[in-house]
Amino acid sequence: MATKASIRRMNNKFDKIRQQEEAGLLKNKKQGNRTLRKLLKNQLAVTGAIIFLIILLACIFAPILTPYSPKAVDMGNILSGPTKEHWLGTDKIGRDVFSRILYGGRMSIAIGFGSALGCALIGIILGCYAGYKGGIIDSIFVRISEVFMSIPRLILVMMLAAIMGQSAGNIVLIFVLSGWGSSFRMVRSKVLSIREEEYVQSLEVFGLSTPIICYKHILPNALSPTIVNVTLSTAMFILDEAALSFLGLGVPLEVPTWGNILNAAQDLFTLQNNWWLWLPTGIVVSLFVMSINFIGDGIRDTADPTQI
Amino acid sequence: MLKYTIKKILSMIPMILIITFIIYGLLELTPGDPISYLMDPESLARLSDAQIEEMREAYGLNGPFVVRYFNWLFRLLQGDFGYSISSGVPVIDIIKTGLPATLELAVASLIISTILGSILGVVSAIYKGTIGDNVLTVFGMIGVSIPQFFFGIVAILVFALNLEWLPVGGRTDPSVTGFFDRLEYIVLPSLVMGLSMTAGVMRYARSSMLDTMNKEYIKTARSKGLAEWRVNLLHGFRVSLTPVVVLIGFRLPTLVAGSVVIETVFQWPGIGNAFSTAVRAQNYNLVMMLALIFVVMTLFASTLVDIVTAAIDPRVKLEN
Repeated sequence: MATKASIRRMNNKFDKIRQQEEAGLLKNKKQGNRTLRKLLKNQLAVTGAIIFLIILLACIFAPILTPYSPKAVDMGNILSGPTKEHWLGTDKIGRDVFSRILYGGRMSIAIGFGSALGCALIGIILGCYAGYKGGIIDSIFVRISEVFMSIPRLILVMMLAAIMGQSAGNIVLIFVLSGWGSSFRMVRSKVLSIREEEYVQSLEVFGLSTPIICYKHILPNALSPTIVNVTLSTAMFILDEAALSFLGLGVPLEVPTWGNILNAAQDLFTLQNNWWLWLPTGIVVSLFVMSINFIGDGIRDTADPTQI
Repeated sequence: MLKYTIKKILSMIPMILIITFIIYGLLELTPGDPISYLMDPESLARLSDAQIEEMREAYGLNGPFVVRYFNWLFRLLQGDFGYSISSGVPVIDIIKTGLPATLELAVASLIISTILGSILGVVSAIYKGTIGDNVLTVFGMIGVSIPQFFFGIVAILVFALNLEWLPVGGRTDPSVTGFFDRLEYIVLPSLVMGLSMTAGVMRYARSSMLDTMNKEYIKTARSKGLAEWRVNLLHGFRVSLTPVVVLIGFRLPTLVAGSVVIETVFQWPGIGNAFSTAVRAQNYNLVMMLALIFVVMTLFASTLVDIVTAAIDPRVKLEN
């Protein structure tokens, strides 16, 4: 396919690069983290990161951004549309919707991230050990995770929610119980391939103890897929929390979370007449989850050496 | 092939035993007297305390845990799922009326998402790197990020409340009305559920099509001078379809979750809707029984997908 013209063009290009290299111009460019540079080139990931940071910071600095408490009832001012005082109006008992979105975001993000972190932690601790040790411990944990994973997650979550009762802490616990399986599998399969490497065998010959080989020497090399997994499962858990609370099965209604705010839209009258109660929240949830997904995908693409 | 099929089916048995054991264990943990959901509430109300104690003995509730479990499992196998404590209806009746509705919705949305997802995925793989591909990728990402129920309520608002094209929710009695009367009820929920699953299928179909297009035999087909569409469709698409069948398996949990959420949003009278109502009412026996139905159905479906995948994948045939 290569015509003479294109070969000449390539030659010119390489000549130029060589000249630059000889002049020492390329050195500056090569410094800095290669992965980070690749990530910054990914426009979707960068856009995602910007949206993510905006929403996250707005939630963290909620007390600065809004003078209203998310729980302050103002009966003189119920169901008002967006005004200068209340940017996104007020709900049925006069609570400011904008401040509810910000404070609700704190809770929803905390639940999502906390659950994802919990799953990753259990997955890492069990997966690393089981994958390295193998044998009966390994097959027991694999069996348990298989059982957990064969139950559709939402069904398991709702079943546990019915038994354990509703509170933010219970929701996190339930999410971790229902979600640790996949991160366990991921870490385990990575460790299985690493344990055959020569450096691990030499560590064994040196007589290092199992936990040290496992968590100090193997784990760091098995972590990268878990990081992507944490970001993507944060998004998943935020969606799950929203769905659960929307159905009235999640966090108790008096605690503002994104799902609880959206719960108001179950009422068809509210749906049709008070758009400010649910539409902005729905958009914020979607944007936030989308931004996390973009970041997660970006990290995966950059971390994968087979991708250009 | 037959050996593989039998092996797969047999491997479900220990799984079902473990899962029923867990579900029974959870059921025992819930508050409330088991006799209240094991017996018909009407006849239970007429019994004296001594008679209830006798019934308890008859149901084997005084035995040790393992005995109670096997008694319960044996009754399940005979189709006795106990009663719903809130309505007094036998659970088996709730399942019998709800399951067809749930399956109807699930199949409709599976068809929609499979067709739409694989077509869009293959198109974006063929035109890889073009603007169209990028737009589809971004749309796919948006699709997986919007909460299903939010998509549902927006659809209700636009098409049912504002445009008044379609009913808000519910489902007509299938025995009374004709096909088209029923169609208008299923359009909105199945489209919402189908479209929200499309993104996943599309991403998978795209990457599997890209994988296939890099294979040697595609180059061979192209170098034979076949028309481009023949190469793409007959040689590429057909093989990349195998993982799309696998994807039906991947979508099963989403399908179950979707049927719970979407059925509740659209008041679709399936077992998903019954499940979320039962969880809210803390109607434990009904919750556990419906959960069991969901789990067993998922297990059966995923086993079926495994078998079908093995049957259509040419590489599996070569091994035999």
